[in-house]
Amino acid sequence: MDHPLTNVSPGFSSQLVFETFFVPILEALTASPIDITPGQLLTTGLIGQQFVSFFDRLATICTPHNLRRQVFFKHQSAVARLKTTNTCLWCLIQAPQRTLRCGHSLCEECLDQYYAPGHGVYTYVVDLCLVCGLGAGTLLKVKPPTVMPSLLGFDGGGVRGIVALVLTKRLQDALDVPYALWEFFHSVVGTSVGRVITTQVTLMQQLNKFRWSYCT
Amino acid sequence: MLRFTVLLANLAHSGPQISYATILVLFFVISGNKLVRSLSIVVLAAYLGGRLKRTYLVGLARLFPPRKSVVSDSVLIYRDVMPQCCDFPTIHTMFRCVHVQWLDLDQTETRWTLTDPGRFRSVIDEFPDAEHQWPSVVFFIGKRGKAIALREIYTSNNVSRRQAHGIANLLADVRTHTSDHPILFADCTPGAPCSSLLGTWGACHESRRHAICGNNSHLEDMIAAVHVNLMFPFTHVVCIFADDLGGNRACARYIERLIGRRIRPSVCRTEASPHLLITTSTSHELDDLVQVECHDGFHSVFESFQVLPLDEATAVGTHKLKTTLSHVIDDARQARRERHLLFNALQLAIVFARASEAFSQDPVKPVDLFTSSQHPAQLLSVKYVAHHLQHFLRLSVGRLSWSTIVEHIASALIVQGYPSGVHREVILKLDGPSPY
Repeated sequence: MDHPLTNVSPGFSSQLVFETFFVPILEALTASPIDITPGQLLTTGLIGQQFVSFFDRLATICTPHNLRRQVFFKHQSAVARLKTTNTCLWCLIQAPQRTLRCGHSLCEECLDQYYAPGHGVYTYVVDLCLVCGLGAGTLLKVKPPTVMPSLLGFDGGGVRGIVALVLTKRLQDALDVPYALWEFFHSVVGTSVGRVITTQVTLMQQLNKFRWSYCT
Repeated sequence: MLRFTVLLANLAHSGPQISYATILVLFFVISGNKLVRSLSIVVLAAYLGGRLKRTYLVGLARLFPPRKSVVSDSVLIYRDVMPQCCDFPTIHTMFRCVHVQWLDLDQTETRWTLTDPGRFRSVIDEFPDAEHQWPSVVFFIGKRGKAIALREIYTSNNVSRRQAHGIANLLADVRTHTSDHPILFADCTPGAPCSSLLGTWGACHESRRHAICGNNSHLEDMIAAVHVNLMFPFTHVVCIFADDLGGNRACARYIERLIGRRIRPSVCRTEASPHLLITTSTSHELDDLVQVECHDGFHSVFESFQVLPLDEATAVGTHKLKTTLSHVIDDARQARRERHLLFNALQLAIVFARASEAFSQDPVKPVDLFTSSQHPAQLLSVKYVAHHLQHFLRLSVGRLSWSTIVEHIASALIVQGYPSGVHREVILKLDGPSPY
């Protein structure tokens, strides 16, 4: 039987795909291993074995997304207790943008892929939460992909530029991510002292020399 | 009516074989309005009297822009035909696309340029369901014997009508056109010209040109490089007619030349090599042919090797070749399927377009199908994804079991690694309604 996944993009060998794309990610993840249960460490090899095992199931019975649903369905009672606004619990690869009534958050790509479109453009009917399966009963509008670029602007005002810097630092702390705030934006612009801040901060950030202590 | 007059005037202008008098008389006959008839008579009389110049008719035509075009069977037909002096295509520039070359190779001074006329894509566009058809590509190399064999094997394709090409013509077997596994066959005639002989490109379809880097090779070496490093990874079976190349020894030299063009060792993570089938009618110097398999680089270029003794150009010989080809194609398809390298027609066209670009960057290295596929997971940021997985781990430790965490991460990665089934319509179609 031909691989059902070959309909749109080639279904290369699971070992090849895993080693090429996911081993670097998991090695970065397991650089500081987390002791989940005494004596059991999360390793790249374990996840790789499970990945290959899932791929073998894909070849005969289902699509990757349906498999993902099955895994969630299997452990739904336990997974439903997890709630976070930092990571989309469905795809696990990016931050969520929308939080449902049940408290679970999803990214807009998952909304686009799993929910039926509403009457309006970029509107989705979210009837049930993907994570817990509870009724959400809401209509969500997402930002169209053409709404670009994202800009960060710094105002002028001489010494009052320190206010913008402190607020930016607090925003960075609140995000609690290991990469710079600037990476969320396509362009950073400023006027007067804002221009100085923009130039200094972004340039020094690129040189890995920027420290927030310079600002405060 | 006035528009129709303009159309007729334009036709008269653009088609010298149509006389103005004929058109005007025709118009006179079809028009029902008395006033228009009278006007037509005046115009006809004026024209015949030499008072109305042709340029006046052309000037009248310029006042009216053309209507939308319709495309039918590769021939552009404009409802309103504009004169040649305008930018719009005229009846002279509209012709049926007769290009069947897979690729073209041109030399300007010392540089080689590879022209991809999109033949692969245009062949596949004619498939009824390209996403669910898995074609096999067969590459024929030879001259007279090959031409006879192709005519007998692919009886519905009218192969002999096509101009011979030094790289290859690419055609789809009409009889397998609608099957799950259609056959594409490349027809290569060594020694034939490698650039388009049929007029300029661009009038009937788009073509992309790639300047080949670091190329000061001889034409035959460059053709061999295109065959070995670009086309063969997409080919399932290569069939060489030894008699057409001058006998078994000459055929052996030809194959060695092909192998020699893979100068840089293969670093492909997805090895895809064709099966080699050689047909010969003589047993002289057969050892030379067999010895080719012992060449160092043979198995980096070809998957397997088979010699098929055939009587020259007989019906029995052709039937034998056809049967053997059928078996070899089936074997090659099965081998590729087991290695997850059997692409559907759409993927094949997309990957080939990218591979031809990659080939031009490094013509002595075989193209890598995996790299050329531009997998969507290439866009994932290691740092970003690792951060979110780390966050998920921190959140779930103590709340989920160890095996559950592993399953969750692995299933999330599967979705990223095989995103083809992403669309909800596919889920509903293949797996029924959502469990929720």
